[in-house]
Amino acid sequence: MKKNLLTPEQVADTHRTLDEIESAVFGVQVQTDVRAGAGCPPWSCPRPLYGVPDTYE
Amino acid sequence: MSSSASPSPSPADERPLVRSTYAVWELTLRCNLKCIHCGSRAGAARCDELSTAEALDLVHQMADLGIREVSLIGGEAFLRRDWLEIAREITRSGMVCGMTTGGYGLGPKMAEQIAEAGLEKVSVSIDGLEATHDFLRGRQGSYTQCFVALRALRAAGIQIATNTQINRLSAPELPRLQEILRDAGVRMWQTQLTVPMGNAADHAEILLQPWELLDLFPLLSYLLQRGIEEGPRMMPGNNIGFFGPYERMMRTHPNDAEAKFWQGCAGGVLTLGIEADGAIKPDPSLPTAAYTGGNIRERPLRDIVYGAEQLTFNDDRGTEHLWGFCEGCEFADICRGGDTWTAHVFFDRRGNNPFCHHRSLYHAASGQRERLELAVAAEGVPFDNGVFDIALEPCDAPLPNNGFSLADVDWPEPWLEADPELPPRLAAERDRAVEVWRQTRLRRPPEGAAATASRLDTAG
Repeated sequence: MKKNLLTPEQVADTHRTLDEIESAVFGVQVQTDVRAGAGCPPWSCPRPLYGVPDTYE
Repeated sequence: MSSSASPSPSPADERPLVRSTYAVWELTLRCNLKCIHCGSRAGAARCDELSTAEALDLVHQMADLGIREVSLIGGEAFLRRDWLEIAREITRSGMVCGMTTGGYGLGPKMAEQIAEAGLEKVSVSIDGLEATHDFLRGRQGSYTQCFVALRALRAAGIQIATNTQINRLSAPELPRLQEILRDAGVRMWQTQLTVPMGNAADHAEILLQPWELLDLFPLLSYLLQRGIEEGPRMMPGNNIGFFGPYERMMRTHPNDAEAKFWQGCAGGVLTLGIEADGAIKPDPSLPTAAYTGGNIRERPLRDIVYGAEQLTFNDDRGTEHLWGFCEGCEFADICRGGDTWTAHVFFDRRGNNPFCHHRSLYHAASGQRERLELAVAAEGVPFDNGVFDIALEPCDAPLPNNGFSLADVDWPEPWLEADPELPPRLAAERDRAVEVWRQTRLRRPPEGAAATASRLDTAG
């Protein structure tokens, strides 16, 4: 399984699994801080050691 | 280490991924602190650090490559006499420039210079309350100096943040630290688990053990949620995860368009690490010996980033490198062994990450836990690692030290007055997660676990 062969179906399946886990543990969907539609600059996704966190403002 | 790399990319060799857009640059190894958990064993400068001309040339190479953001680190970056000249060139070249600092000696005058150089944000490392921080940082007064630095930076109009290492000493103090950081005006708070690299490899007693993640994650989840409302917002670092009930909560950032989860190590894909002597790695935290793809004194940055195997191993990385528990994990295809740095510094080999929430829950649900023990000491050079043995044992086996648990947390009094049920609620959440794993996840046996045990038995 190669990284660049990740399929949308795999991602969707994982979301479904995490939906099931969150529902079973918490009983509700957890808060994720998503502000729909805004998007995040791609370089801010990784959080390496010594990285400076961004306020995203 | 020289690279076994292919030459520069041709147009036909265009890669589908955006490459290395976030660089973390160790400007110097010189430092005014003596942290017992310092991964680079900083103190004296490296004997062959880049000259000013070489550093400025590297800035231009980074800009040409498409780097968007550069975090300056050390040692202590500002102990290099030409550091502001380098920082100015980074911003002049169109890249965002930030700095992560220990803060010792950073006062109002320097803060003004930092602002003048165009740095947008500075993160000050604070690793617990005063006694813990000063002990970990090896210098009395270093905690106080962190807040001198934060005040000065804030007054100069610079965005301030904090980085915190989580280990047995700092974990119980995180709630009080969050309040102090909020009061200091810190908006963003990056956390990461202390792992055995560099000096930390010589102090395994401060490291969390895998079963302690069971108690840590409900705490982190609470602090993260609280920070969204009251600040500072916690940003779990790359080695905090994976695929427990808090995975999406922790992996999703403000302004993300949708919830996220870990999808494999981004070292070399989105990140780049630069050592003060010009060595190039996929990520600043990765061990030097195993992950240096080349040196800019010998090859152009672009050649190293696109050609060196050490920089490109994540491009088409699948699951073939996985071993131990990770090899048979139900999330293997997506996760690919979690954080490369953490796995490598424990076992001198990537692909089997013991600091994994799913893994700890899986073993707890089976009535077991994994215990890590140093077997081979680190050599004693920057960014080195030792080798740990891992034992799978019953949850109730006697221990010399149980380590961190929710019962150890030092809660701010106002929090408990407002919500007396907070500690038992988090403990119940921990237990509920274990029960959910027992009922649902044990159906997916980790085939690699037996293989790991066999290998370790043989090695032992």
